[in-house]
Amino acid sequence: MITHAPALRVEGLSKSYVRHRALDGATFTVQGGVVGLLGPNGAGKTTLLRILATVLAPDAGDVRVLGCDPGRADERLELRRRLGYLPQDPGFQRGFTAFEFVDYVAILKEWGNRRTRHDEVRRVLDVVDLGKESGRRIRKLSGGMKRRVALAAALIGDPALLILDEPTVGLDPEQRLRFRDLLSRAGEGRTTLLSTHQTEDVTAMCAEVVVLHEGAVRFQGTPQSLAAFAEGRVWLAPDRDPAARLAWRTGDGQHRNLGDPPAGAPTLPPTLEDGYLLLVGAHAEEVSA
Amino acid sequence: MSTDIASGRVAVGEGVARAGLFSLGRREAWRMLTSPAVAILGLYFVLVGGVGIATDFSSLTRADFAEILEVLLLMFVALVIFPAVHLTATSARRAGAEGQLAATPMDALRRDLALCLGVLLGPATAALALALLAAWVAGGVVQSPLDEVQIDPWTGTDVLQWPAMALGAGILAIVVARWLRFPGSLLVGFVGMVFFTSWSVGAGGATIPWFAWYMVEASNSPADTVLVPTASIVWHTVYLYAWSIVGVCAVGLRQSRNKRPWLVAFGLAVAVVVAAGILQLPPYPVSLFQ
Repeated sequence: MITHAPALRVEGLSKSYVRHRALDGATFTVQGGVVGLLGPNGAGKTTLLRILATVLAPDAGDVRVLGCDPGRADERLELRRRLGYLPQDPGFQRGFTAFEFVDYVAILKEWGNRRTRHDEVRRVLDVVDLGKESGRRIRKLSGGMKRRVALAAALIGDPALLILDEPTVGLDPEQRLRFRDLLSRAGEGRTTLLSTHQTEDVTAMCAEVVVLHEGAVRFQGTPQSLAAFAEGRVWLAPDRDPAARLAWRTGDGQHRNLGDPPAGAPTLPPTLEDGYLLLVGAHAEEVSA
Repeated sequence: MSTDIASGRVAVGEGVARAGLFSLGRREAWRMLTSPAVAILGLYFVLVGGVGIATDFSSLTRADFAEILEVLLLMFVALVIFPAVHLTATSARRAGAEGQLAATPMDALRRDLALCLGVLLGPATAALALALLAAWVAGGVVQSPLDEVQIDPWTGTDVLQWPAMALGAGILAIVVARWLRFPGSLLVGFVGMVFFTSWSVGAGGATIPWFAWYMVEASNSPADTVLVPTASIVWHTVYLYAWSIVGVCAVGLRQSRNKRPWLVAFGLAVAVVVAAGILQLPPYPVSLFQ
């Protein structure tokens, strides 16, 4: 029997720090699949993910993750047993090898039997293509490899929910490509919530996107519907058009303008980035999600 | 087999024995014993002892060797263990890995209790092994050729004092790591431990004798040149271990959301420390013999 309760349900979620309101009544529901969380710096993405990963408690609002209430100790424990979390800046204890680190996390994930645990550690290291590097000290690995070690740790136990906070930041294009492929494979058969600045990552991997801006959800839908938000509102001109809300010079010397085009201006097919920028860029527009 | 897509109940850990504190404690014990602090400080102290032995090697007796071993254990066990355990306890914080670990089923309280268990399984067990070695060496000594050296055969209670000291130093390091969450807390705790120990065996011990961390030696030997009061070694051992329990409760108080049971346990442990501290004393004022 298959049931379809939402994997994530967030209602009116708020969280404030001393002088900053990070989340301001965020509300959305995710049924499953790979979901991208887009938003500019300071939008509240990391705070939201930390709350969903049970690392942080919200000030107000209702959260259900995999049907569990992270505010209740027994349900939080149950949730943590089914959760994989990759933070924005994963840290590694000095002196650990890749194998030792993942094995340590496996113990924290309650894998008791040594032989079974080591088999699982080897499996996840193979998944992230680090099987041959498992004996190397983490501090001697490249940035991309370190991220893969952290992802391997998140994948321990084949969790039902993966929460990944900007997993591709700081990676070169080839590493990003490898990582996208990895995440796409890792996302099969589970719910993956992926925070990113990179609209290309969302286009490449996500079936659904949630846009967070100033602590609130501004959009939820498919990447195509977010791109469609800029339909008929992207045009090229030799100069920055005064009518444009946002414009930038492209490599061929033209200016790509976003906004309400002048009459007769030929428009271009919009990208996800165009829709996103119109939504959260300067003079951001309201949209009904 | 039913699958709940939202909860993924078939996914994680089913059919896998859940790791308890013991698995993590064993791992933490290994990390403590293989800490660079143990290697560096241990090597230094072995060299200090080694130089002492090498200098008078030709005239060294078994009693001398037993004394060197005892002094090394007495002076250096806590000094090696404290930094090793503190570094282990703060490694996640220093590496910025706390957020990652916080999302695992082992919460901060269980992780710290595993650290305490690790001190017992690692440094305290190693100290016990060293104490057994010292006891074996001292056990072969009937009478020292030197007047000022009197090696009595060790009893089981004597042996138990060394792991107690290792356990106390390790637990104290965890308490310091959790209650003093700032860079440099290792140094503050280390210096504080050394000064407090010096104070308690000196002025502090004379003022509040039950508070003394040192062993009031039992000796009825007429060969002793220094008169020491007879006291209860058993209660002294209880006193030492009770301090470790106080430390574990202090860690629990810091990490647990439900403070009340930890507060009660803390109060009981303090009561045991005070009671054992008084019961360990001789039935006459210690100051008479100082």
